[in-house]
Amino acid sequence: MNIDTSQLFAIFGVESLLGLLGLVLIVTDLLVGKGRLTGPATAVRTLAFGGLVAIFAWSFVLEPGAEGALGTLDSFALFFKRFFLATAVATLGVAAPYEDRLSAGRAEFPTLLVFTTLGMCLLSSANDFVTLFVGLELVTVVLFLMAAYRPQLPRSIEAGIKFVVIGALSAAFMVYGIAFVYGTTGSFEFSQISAVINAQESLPAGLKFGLLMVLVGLGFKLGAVPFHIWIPDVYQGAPTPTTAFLSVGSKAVGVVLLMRLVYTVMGPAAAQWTTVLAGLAALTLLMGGLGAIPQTELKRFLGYSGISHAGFLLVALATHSEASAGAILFYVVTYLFANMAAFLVIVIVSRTDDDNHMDRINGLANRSPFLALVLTTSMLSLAGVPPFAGFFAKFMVLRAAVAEPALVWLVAFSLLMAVTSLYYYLCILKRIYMRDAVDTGFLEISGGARLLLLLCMLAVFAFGIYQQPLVQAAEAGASSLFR
Amino acid sequence: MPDQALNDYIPILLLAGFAVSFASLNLIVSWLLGKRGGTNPDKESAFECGMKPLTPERRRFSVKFYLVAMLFILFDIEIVFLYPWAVTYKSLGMFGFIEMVLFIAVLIIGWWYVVAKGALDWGPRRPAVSVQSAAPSEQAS
Amino acid sequence: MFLALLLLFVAALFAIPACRRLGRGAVWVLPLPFVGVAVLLGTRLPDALHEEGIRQSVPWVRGLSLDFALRLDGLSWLFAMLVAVIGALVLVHASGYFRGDSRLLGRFAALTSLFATAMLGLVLADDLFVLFVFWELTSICSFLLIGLKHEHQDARDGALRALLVTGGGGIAMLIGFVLLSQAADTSSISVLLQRGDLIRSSSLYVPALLLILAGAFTKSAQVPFHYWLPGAMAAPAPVSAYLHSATLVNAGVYLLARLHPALGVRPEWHWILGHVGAVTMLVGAAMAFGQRDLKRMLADTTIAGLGTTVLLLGIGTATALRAALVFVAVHALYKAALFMVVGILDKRTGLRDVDRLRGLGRSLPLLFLTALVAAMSMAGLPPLVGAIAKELVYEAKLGAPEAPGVLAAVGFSANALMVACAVLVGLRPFIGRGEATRVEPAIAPVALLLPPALLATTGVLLGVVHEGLMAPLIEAAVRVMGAEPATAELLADTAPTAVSWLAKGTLFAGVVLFVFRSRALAWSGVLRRGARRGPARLHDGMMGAVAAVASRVADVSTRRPVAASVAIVGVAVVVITGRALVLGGLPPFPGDRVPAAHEFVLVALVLAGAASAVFSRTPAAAVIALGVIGVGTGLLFLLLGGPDLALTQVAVDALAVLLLLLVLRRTRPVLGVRKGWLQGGLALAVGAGFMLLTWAAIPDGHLRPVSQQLSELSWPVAYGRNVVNVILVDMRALDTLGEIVVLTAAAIGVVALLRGGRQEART
Repeated sequence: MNIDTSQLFAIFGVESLLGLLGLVLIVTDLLVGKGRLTGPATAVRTLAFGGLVAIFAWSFVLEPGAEGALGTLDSFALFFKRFFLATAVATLGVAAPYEDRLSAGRAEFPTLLVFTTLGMCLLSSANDFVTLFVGLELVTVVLFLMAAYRPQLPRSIEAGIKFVVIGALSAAFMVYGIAFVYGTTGSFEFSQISAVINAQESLPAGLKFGLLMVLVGLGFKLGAVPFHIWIPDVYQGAPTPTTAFLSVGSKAVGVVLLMRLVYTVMGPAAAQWTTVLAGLAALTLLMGGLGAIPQTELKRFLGYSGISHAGFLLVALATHSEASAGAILFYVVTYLFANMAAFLVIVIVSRTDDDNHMDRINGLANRSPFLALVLTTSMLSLAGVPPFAGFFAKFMVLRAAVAEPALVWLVAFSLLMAVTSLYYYLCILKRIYMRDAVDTGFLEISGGARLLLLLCMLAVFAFGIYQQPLVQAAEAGASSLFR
Repeated sequence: MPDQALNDYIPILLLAGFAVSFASLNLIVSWLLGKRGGTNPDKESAFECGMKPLTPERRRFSVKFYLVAMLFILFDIEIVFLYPWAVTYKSLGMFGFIEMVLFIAVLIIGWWYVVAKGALDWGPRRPAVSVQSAAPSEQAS
Repeated sequence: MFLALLLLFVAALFAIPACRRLGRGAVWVLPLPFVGVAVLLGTRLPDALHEEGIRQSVPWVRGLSLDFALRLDGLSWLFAMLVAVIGALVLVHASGYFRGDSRLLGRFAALTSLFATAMLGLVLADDLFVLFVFWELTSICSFLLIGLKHEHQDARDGALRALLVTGGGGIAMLIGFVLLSQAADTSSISVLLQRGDLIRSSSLYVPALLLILAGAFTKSAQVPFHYWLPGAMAAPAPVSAYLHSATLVNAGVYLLARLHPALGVRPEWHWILGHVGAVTMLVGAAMAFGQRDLKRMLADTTIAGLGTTVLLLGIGTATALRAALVFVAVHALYKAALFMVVGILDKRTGLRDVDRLRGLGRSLPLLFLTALVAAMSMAGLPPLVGAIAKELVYEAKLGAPEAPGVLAAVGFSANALMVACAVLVGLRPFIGRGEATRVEPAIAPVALLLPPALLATTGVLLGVVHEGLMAPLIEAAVRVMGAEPATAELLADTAPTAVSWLAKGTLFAGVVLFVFRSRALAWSGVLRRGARRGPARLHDGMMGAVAAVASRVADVSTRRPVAASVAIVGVAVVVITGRALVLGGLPPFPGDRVPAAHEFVLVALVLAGAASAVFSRTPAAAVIALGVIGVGTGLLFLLLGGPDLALTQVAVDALAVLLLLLVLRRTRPVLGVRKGWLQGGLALAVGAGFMLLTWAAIPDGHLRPVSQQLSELSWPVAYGRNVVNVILVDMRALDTLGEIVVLTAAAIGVVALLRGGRQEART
């Protein structure tokens, strides 16, 4: 097997830099921290932040188009590399006020984050199943660690264990499926598999089975029903920065891989999958639309809300058109900003007694109008209320879906679920504006946190009013899937 | 499957045989030569200054064992990767050398981390996580 | 026009710091942007009265071919002026109402300015989706304004209910807009309006109409969506004066008026609007009459007023359209004034109860005068403009193409009730004797009193000089709405006798109702209770049901034994893969011979083993039954020609049974799985699923190169005829070695654990 390595650096430049950054962070921690496990980690944190921002900025210099045997740097991959880098930067921002709750491992957290991001960037570029799996496992294993990061808390360990079991299960399904696909097509590479799939009218049973197993494995990552069982418990138990990263990053990983599967691997034959994906989407929307209503814990609530968003992404996947692919890319970016802002508010608000019950945000409008405004913007964007970015994301998804006559029922159902989800987001608003505060302490917001909150809020607002640049970027990213 | 290829595996078979026989030999000899005599439960229980043990022994294994085993595997795989390079290093030239230097450097950083953070320390010198007295916290994280 | 929007938006941004700095002086600054907008609109009036009005547009989302387009014509000018003028007055009033609490005033001003931006955008929008964006914004702002000063639990619930109803309607309207834009092949309103025939003949007309009407009716509090409006009365009076009289609730009416050229004329339009409007009118008036809380009474009369407008839009004649617009403007004027009056009363006396407020006229003379004038306009007493509106309405009803008599009768009853309410609000609190006479006779601050007074006075003025001011405007608006302007004057002195008799009769009936109020209330008690409770109860019931379902659904994911989660995942996998595989077509059933008798016996043995495993009482018995299954399957393999398979099967089975029994001896678990129909069904389903999977995966003739080669080499190279054995022992022997090693290691580990456990159990 000849591996064409000439383009490796062009394709994996971001990953190389991230790997280097990770190593530098480890060395810095050893030099500065002198081998202690507890204690502050300002140097590492600052370096991680600076490094990630620098790599993010550098990624805009890259041009799509490089392609090699192990990976590809098309505009889709580039879009998501930038997206994952932005997610990592935002997660560091969420982790900063949380740090004093970590009794150990403050320096390791940014390092782990960098390595996870490396894995996420790697799998965005994957054009064969092996690279995909390597990247996926890198992401998953590090996330196991990050979920159990506070081992003194039983809930954190519980979250870690549940995550490990489910992660292992999903990896098992996936490998099983990949094996079947390899066995029936003879190759790991997406282009060759796609050729085999599209060359024949009906697929052999083994190939279908393999593809479906891969779908199941990816469904776990995305949080599709019925593979969503881990989400509420893991989201609640893991430390909040990890939950924030999971909610955006893990979902995006699922989306990226599903899009590669549906658009690149299956190609035009994916039209046969519309029913399966539509069914999954409907179930996911149902669980997401109803599951959040009785919740009283903030992170669990955001977990179910995330399931509802996963449902919308599945609707777009079921639609399988270029417009819907662009809609997905737009959607994840708006979701990133809205969600990160919400999680940062949760971190700040739960500071005093390390508890994330919804009573923490009661009366927030009086305690801190700034936080109330940010959380309101975030909730309204997640609910899909104009003029925030979330509305346009949903609008783009539904508009693309309406063009497909077979999916009209799904559009109607998703709008119904949007109404129920509006209800529970409004309940949050009710708590913020119409309840008396339970906590009375002063909420201290550091300058950096304030900046990040402001940035997210402005992004949500700006992308709602002036979507053009983001829509263009999304369409450019999606177009490379349809070469 | 040609017979010739399997001939290369004979050394492994010999090695396996040797390992098994060595282990069994030790056990048999110690059984033969060791003191005959009954063991009673009191002899095998934990020593608590001559009193009967009041609480059942904690059967928890320290996680250090697991850490050592896992780290061993990691560095052992590094060695495994070094062997092919060692055999063909002349033909790979400078390119191979630099590659291996990078590979080893990454692992050396890992090793430095492991040693500095005390993952291989055997005594209870430094607790990794600050011990919380009284009942562990029941709150969510 | 963009300038106007920008002005208000900037005002919203600067309201809070401005109030903090200026304190008392804010009263001069806050209304300025609104005044500015009014002036801007005024300068554009001549252009607006032209045929198509003025259009301004900016490309917005190219990907969706959406332009941010605004349009100023007679119709939107009217509504925009209402937003601006009443907004300015409300801000002045508010600075007196919230005097002393500049923080609250700041928030009120910011939210009101934001709301005004949204409302202005709504009426000026020239694109369906731009309109939707502003529509939702007004809902959100209204929610926040209601929550400005919350005290009671039901107040918060009221705000939530309001937003939920209008939000839900909004979403339905969005779908309607999508359908409409597909039917007309554009989302630009100006273009849409010219394609009326195309739209009306499209198959999408009825669903689009129903959905858009859902949006309009929820916003304008039509029956059965009217119940949110009384709940919104928890808001401070200035909020109600602005939102719930003049602007927010009129958004739905505006939409209907705007889309009339596109959606109107068809019988469905007339039928639905007519009936809903009439019912709303009656229900609202009846509820109002029975109210004790003055503010809620005003809310109910607003519902009735909105019903009237919808009814008129449903009638659709030129006169009716004219009447609708005049009525909207007039209603806004007097209702805003009355809300402000009630707010002042509430502030001074702490009461809003109509039965307890008496005799305040002596202490609050100016307020009395204002209230009286506004009430006269509401009642329709000439020479106030309210009278003109009333007469126009009757004229329209009598001129209706269908059932003019019924309409007139319904209108008569409703208006009579409204007259009675007007007297209750404007007259009763100020005369007579009552406990509230203890209010000190202070003159209210100017800021507080001036706006309602101005509004009331406008009512008088317009009543006198209506022709020059209003007529051309109304005509332009009506023209835009797609009806031919009539050459008749607004109020001809040659009004038909029927109309003037009706008007006078209404006044008389209203006064009678007022006088005999308590008796009338007693008679209609049941009806009123039904009307008030019905939809609200339904709404709450629905929400309760949704919450209960949600709890059950969320529980599905948590608090389940692991077995259930595994079952769910297993079933899901089987369903997904099974469906896809089976739909692809199963290969023919591999049955080419009839099974022999002993094979049946063995199958029965296996099934018996399975059954006893499921139904056994102790774990040990279950394990042994599993062993029976294994032995039976092994024997089957043996008889079907696979001795090595049989050997493997029996060996594995024996090992498994032994291990399980060993574990059972140590741990004594309890069989905790419920054995109900559900579990049985699931198990059968999963079993059937796997059977189907196996069946579907039977190779359909694709030759596997490796296996063919291996079977060819089996005899010559490895001297074995049993290919499976040869592969296990010879060709893939190292794999087998590895497996053996793994198994040994596992066995050693298990033994070690068990021994440790035994030691522990002993000590």
